[in-house]
Amino acid sequence: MALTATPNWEVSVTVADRDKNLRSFSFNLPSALTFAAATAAAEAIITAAATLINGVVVRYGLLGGKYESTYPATLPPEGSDVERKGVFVFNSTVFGQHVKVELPSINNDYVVDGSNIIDQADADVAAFVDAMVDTGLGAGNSPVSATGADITGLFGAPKKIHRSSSKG
Amino acid sequence: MFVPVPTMALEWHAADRDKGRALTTMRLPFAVSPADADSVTDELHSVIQPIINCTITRVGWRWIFRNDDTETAEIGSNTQVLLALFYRNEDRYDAIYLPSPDPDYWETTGPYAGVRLDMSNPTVVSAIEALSTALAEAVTPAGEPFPTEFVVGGKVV
Repeated sequence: MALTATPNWEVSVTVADRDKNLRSFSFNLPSALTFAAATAAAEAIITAAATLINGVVVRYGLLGGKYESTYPATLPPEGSDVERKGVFVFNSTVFGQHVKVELPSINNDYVVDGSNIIDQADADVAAFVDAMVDTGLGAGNSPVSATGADITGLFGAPKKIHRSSSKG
Repeated sequence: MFVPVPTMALEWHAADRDKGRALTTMRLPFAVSPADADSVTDELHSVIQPIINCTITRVGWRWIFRNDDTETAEIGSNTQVLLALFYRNEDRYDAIYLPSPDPDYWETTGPYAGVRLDMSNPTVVSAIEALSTALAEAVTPAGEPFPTEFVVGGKVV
């Protein structure tokens, strides 16, 4: 399976009314536009649209990305369950600020038998943890905290949890 | 003025065999370019997929800009929406929906009073011209150029 680039930039604009109710509108821009050109085009449309409304545009988001072109024609594997989470909590460079990542449908092969602990010594698990830590991906592009603090390592042993599901 | 929030979001959408869905969000520095987000996505995907057994259906890259002006909305409600139609061909119009339309811009007389944009109002005319011009850069979800010939605007609730 491979991920394919989405064809458009999707722009989602959030408008607040006097009572702080939020509602959004959206439009698309061609993905061929550079990031700077896309933000300029988005703001031109937002500025023109704002003349016609009496709410306040509070934010807008520029959304790109990739998608799995074989889904849903190719079904996910038997036994997959997105409510079975692999919970990884990381430390950041800001004391007390942790980064929690819940990987859906963690493979039970990586759970230490007789426990809910995910085996950090396993090479595949270690590769994921290394990629999350600052410099793991190089060029300063590894994940960070919501405020932009670098991730320094695991806070504790990663665990498997299972959330309840309305689907049973 | 729109200013960037500190980080951009890397949104991992997953699905399991029973149509269960999950979203996991990671953060990257806001300055990460789309090209770097692309390579980071591929690198993280290569280490995440081996330890999970569901399908990553989509990875979204979301850069958010917030408005740092402290203006307050005028009296009005987001429950109303302006539907603006643009002509594509005899069979199809494309639309943009704008929440919280300004009631000052509706027609005031005739059968469409209070529901249709007043195209005799110079402010409305110039705003529609600006919107049509700006939409020339836009596309439909299918990737077709967005039409720029404005037809009519009206209130929907």
